[in-house]
Amino acid sequence: MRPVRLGLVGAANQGREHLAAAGACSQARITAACDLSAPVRDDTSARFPEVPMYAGLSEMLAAHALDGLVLALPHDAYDAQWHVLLQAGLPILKEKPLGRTLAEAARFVAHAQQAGVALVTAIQRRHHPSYVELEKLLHGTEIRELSATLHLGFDPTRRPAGWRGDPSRAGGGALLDAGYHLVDLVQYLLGAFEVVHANLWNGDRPATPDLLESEARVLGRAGRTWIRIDCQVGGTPDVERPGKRKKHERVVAVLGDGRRVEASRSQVLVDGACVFQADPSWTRSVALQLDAFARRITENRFDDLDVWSQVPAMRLIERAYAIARAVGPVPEGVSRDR
Amino acid sequence: MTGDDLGTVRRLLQHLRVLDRVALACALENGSLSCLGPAPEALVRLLAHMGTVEGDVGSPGLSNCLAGWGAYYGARYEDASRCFEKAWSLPGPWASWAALGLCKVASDLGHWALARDWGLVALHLAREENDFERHSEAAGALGEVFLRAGQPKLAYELVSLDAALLPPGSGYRDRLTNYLAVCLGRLGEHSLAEPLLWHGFFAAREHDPVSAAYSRASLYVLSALIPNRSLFCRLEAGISHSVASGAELPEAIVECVRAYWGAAGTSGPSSGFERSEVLAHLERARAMLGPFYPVERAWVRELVCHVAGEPYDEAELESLRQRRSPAPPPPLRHVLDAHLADADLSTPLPFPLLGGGRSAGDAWQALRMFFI
Ligand SMILES: NC(=O)c1ccc[n+]([C@@H]2O[C@H](COP(=O)([O-])OP(=O)(O)OC[C@H]3O[C@@H](n4cnc5c(N)ncnc54)[C@H](O)[C@@H]3O)[C@@H](O)[C@H]2O)c1
Repeated sequence: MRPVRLGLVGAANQGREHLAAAGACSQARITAACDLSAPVRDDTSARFPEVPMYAGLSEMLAAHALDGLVLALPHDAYDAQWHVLLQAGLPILKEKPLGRTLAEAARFVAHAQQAGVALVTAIQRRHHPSYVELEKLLHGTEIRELSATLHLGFDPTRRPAGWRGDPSRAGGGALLDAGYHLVDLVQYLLGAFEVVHANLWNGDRPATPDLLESEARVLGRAGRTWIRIDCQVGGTPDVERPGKRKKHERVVAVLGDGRRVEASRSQVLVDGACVFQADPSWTRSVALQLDAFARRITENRFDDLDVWSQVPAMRLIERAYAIARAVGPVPEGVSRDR
Repeated sequence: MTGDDLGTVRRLLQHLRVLDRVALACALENGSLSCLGPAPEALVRLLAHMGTVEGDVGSPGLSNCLAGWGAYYGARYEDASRCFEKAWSLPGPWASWAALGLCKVASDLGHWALARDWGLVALHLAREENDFERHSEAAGALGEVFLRAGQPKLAYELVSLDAALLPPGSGYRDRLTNYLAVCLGRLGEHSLAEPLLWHGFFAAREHDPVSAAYSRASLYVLSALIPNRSLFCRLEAGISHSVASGAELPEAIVECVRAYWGAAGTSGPSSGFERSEVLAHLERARAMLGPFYPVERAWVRELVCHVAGEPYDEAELESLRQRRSPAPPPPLRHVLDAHLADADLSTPLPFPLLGGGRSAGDAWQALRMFFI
């Protein structure tokens, strides 16, 4: 069967993850890519010489017959480009988040629907073998508590470069960016949940809209299950590498019968005993995600309602921001003197 | 009924009121105060009569809990500990209340790690029982422990959780505004803390004078922390204030801050040091603290020694160490609260508020440890 031909829009950091993973796909191929930045194009071409690179979407579309688009653009780039992207009339796999705000996400969804374009959000944890195994283990069991942690291990005191360091361009810090993965992962494992409380920090300072959060903690609840999400740009100090932070990713659940289930990207443990092992890299899960997208294109399995499936995650994140800022400290017009 | 019993009942009523059990508190206050015999038993009867507590009010578990709270609010910590431990040993729906009581006793006696461990038990049980009210209380009590133990960031998270769980229109809101402001002050966010404290003061002045007294005292502390003498002078000149019953701790703290500015600490700006005046403020503070705040009282004693130029007398610290504290809770495998269970609450001394042998400046700086 002919592979599904995908065009990548935005070929830097996350775009390259897709390019690397495409090599491991059985049904999808990234047959062309485009990026506005010449240095990014050169760098990406050097790493993936087999993929033709273009400066813009129109050049790429003019040169290639494509079946779908993969979007890995800065969070603020979609707003201006959305209609152009929809005009291509191709199914879209858009990197998370669905939007910078719930309103923006809803607008993207509504416009995609009007244009008859299928829209799916890319969140690869749903495809990672460890988490797929965890979902199977948790399915149908009573879960008392679940905690999901993602520490990226970067230097949290350094303002992120480019669009990520600008609150209006990025739309949010740790919660919207990396936290989106955890919110989605918890929804994948448990179904919908509600935010009970949230705190946002910039280092040791309560974060405000003008001060991007480097840490986000969310307490949630779904039925009788209590949930905690802890997402940090940094992480705990790494004693073995002075000045560095520890990268850390884990989901821990306590089941109704008292068993403790723990999953990282490399293994799943039940009461300390390993029941599953996996390759921790992203290549396989991103490849599975591209293949799943390709299958839907081939089988034309997009229904109108699909596009709304990511809205609960956006809603939840927006609510967490609102809660953190409502009990948060900054009365209007007060300047911070520190 | 003795004056001590009355004091105990008043504190208990205040506790019920801040927990939003307003109707119960009012009924007790209006109809029953005069006829109360020995406080806890009378409360048990009243509660049974009013049917406000589910289950068998006369059961040993619940009555031990109530007796524990009665003893706690009467500053009889050893009795409180014993009653809560007894209640804890009897399985029943009061377990989280007993655990909370043990957290409060350990906290008042300065055993931060122990208080944290019992507080986490209360939090855990409250979650298991889906008891949001208890969850909120336990988060608040833990917030106090973490703040006093030098972890203001975790304290802020816990207090803001307590605030998030409050029902709309709760009478406790202003107090939590204070607590949040104090956490912010401890995080160095003075310009955010001050407006919140003024907000807390004016919002509570009419309906909750005790809360207003806490806001005012926190503003005094802030003046010493920044330090900002003009804020102190504005407070001294500006706020007309009558001492509310139940506001012994904030009033004592105001006296301590007055003493601080009198002695000018070691880090504050200098002003003519009137030793006798400073000592008078500190003695007034000690008298106000009475038996209720033993850690704070011992700290004020330390200040007195510094100001009077006397050697530090370890007796009060030692007697505090000797007081019977609650037994540790059974070990829990924490998941949601692992970050709280793992936080380092150890300090060089058992009580970070206290420190025999430290400099006067360091002793004054412990003013920041107050959770007010
Ligand atoms: N799934 C994950 O694990 C993961 C990880 C990182 C980032 N992301 C997401 O991927 C997206 C991109 O993030 P990133 O880290 O790769 O950002 P990036 O800044 O590294 O890359 C974005 C690229 O898009 C290019 N670009 C901007 N406007 C363009 C346009 N109109 N046409 C073509 N190219 C354009 C830029 O030149 C840049 O090279 C974001 O949504 C981010 O949240 C996901």
